[in-house]
Amino acid sequence: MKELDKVMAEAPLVVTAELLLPPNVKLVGVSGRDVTVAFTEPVPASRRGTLLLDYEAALVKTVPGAVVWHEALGDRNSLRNLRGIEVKG
Amino acid sequence: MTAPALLLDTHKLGWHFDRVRAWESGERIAPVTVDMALTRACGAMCRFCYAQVQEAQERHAIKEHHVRNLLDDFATIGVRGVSLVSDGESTLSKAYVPFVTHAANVGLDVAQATNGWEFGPEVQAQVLPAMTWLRFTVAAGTPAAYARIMYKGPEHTQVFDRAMQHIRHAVEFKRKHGLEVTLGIQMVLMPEFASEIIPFAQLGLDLGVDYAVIKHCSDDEWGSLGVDYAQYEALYPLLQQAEAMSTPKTQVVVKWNKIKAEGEAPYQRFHGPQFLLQLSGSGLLAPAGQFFNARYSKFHIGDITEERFIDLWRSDRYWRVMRYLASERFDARTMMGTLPISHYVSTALDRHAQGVERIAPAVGVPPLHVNFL
Repeated sequence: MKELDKVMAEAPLVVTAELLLPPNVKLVGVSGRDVTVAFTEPVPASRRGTLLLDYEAALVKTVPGAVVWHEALGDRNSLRNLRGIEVKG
Repeated sequence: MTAPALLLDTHKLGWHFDRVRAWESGERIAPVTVDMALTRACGAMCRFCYAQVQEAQERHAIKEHHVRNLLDDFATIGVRGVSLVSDGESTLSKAYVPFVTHAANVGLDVAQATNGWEFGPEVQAQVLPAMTWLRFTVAAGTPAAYARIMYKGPEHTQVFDRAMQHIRHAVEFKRKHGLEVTLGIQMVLMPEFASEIIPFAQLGLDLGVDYAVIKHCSDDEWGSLGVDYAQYEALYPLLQQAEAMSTPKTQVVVKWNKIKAEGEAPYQRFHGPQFLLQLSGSGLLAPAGQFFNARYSKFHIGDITEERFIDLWRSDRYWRVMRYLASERFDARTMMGTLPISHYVSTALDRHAQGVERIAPAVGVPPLHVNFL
């Protein structure tokens, strides 16, 4: 039942998040007020901040408190990777 | 005359009160300090390394012409100190020596952290005279533990020997040439390294460096590095014992304020990056190292290999991100990793903004490294 409540609570944000997605961005998941997305093609650093801040600003008009994140990436340093540390986010 | 103090466990904003006042009146201020790296690469594999959780979408090579432009821009807008710490081993970059010498030539204080493995006599002779401070990362006081924490395993003690050789040379080079550079070693303490605290302090004394500092380990908000902050308190007696080993020549310092914070930010709004900005060795400009990972792409401002820093700093992009971090939209307690480099600065600015404890103009002899907040 708790799981169902969670799904119902998140439903408006999921729908809004899908509807407002910018081009070249896909929805990865919604948890609480956190919306996680990923770019479907490379976006330069000069554009990605503005693009996601605009997206978040649009989302909060419908769902106050919504927060946008990009999918986390793991370390690409092959030597450090021998440690086996994984980014948990 | 009183000797300048070595302040490693607080901020120095009182000595930059002009910048504090300008910030408070809403001006677009230049950072006092920029911390950065010239590469994301590193030959070590330190267990505690925060770079393991800092991967952005792409890595660009920072070349000599990029750093010359960057340093010129820093000097133009009023940056006062630049350090090479951040998310890579900058001595591996071909731009490293030109960076240090050019920084000094344009009037910036310059400093660095390094594992010291590629910091041999030839390089030292070129950069040490230009530096304000240089800090070697030394994870432990014994060779096997050092190699276990910083490299592939306890049997690889050649990396310890190499580092010690270079540190000893730097200490001797400083003495011989009467340089002002402060030389230190730093242990990034994870609770499981407790048995190395006293050997580390002893090593600092044996090497004859100016200080040996022990600090907390930062982690991201999910605990990817596995730092158990609750375990630090049990180490306090050992840390006090280490501090008591200080000699007139070598100060053993514990960053108590960060260690006792237990990974918690005492502020929600994040004002620190406006004063102490960070750049990734990938070329990425994001306000703090905690935002380099792709996860925080909305705080990614630009790339210094693609645009001039001065244009990025003047851009609406830069100030939009800074305003967001200082707004009620952002909560440093839940939206970023623990204990960023600007922790002291951010704490002080938050208390100042809230009227809890106002920053006052500093008086007296400026501390060492005054331009490194």
